[in-house]
Amino acid sequence: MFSAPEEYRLSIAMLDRDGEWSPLPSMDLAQHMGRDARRVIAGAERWRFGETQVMLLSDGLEDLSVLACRVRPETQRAWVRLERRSVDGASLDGAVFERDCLRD
Amino acid sequence: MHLSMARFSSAIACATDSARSYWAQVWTGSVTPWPFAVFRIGVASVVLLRTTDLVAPWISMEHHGFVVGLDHDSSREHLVGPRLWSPLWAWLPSGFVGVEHILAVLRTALALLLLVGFRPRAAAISLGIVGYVLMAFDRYRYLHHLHFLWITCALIALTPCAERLSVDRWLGWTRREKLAPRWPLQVLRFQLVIAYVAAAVGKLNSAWLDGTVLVALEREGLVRGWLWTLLRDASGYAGAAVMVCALELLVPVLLISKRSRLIGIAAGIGLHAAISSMMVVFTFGVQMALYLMLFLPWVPEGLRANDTVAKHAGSL
Repeated sequence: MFSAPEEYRLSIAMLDRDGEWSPLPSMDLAQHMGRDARRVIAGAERWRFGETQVMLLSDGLEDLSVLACRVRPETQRAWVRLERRSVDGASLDGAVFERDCLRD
Repeated sequence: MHLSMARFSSAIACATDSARSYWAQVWTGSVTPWPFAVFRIGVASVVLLRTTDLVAPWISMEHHGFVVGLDHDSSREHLVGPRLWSPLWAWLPSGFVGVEHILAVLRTALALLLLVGFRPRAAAISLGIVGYVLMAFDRYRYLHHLHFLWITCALIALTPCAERLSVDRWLGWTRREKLAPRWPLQVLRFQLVIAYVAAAVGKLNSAWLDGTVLVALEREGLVRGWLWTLLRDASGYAGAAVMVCALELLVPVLLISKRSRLIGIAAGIGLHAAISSMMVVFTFGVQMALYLMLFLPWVPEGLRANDTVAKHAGSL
């Protein structure tokens, strides 16, 4: 516990039918999440401090993109990016997931 | 040359025999059933306290800030659909609010059965499974101390925990045995040793050892309090970091050796009391204290401390 914490930042963007990308604030998804998911995701557009939850979030980007598509059914695609950096500022490997909302 | 090779082979064989004999000694033998009963009651109490807000009107605990009713019972969270579904394991079926409510009630009932010792082994394994599955329905519910708690419940199912202070005993479903097999006690002890070693090994990185992590934790308000201030001012960030890591490595070593065991228990209790006062770790400190209790020299009833069985009862 707390042996290798890091910082993370989450970005979500949606592609509308006109081909325009626009950011989806994580707070717009908050009411669709349980208490614990809100703690990790809501407001994570700004750098946040975490440890285990970063790994959990990294593996959960696909599920988050599914939710984004369902919350904004008028969009074509959902794009979710997780950025990570160590506590001394060094960049770490992040993750990106893009989903075709029309496929669902 | 041939002679020295023969001696070397003989020494290896001798060492192997000694190691094998020691390993057999670790697992064989008998102990008093009392530690299993105390551990069962302690863990069941922790589950009830940690997963409910039962005592909130009288005692303030860290989780009372977010647990209302039963923990992980999403029927009280008033979520708006569509709901985020992100289980810890992809193969878990979609969770339903109703199912989570039923499982949360079942988890509480199982914890009560474990507490009073009604078919406690079945209750323990069921509690471990239900508790873990309920946590795993949403990946963001995962917390190390909960993972550790549900694993502990499952391990209790291996122990003869019904032989003292139990409804099973009162109903005559379990005989009052003087001795219980020692191996379940050793399994639980190893679990604690593994937890300490894993925690210490995880800290063997430059960011922890040079104090960078503690600086960040303090900046985020995750370490605080007068004891932390005292420790930081006395030893610096790096000194405090090295001290914590060294203690986590030292405590299991002290616990393994029978002669230093009581010192190990005291050091472990001190470590967790200090951590609990400096950080939000929920019931983790109490969980570890229950494990440390298992290292006490539990002498079987009717035996003196210097009897052979009693001596074995105390060694890892």
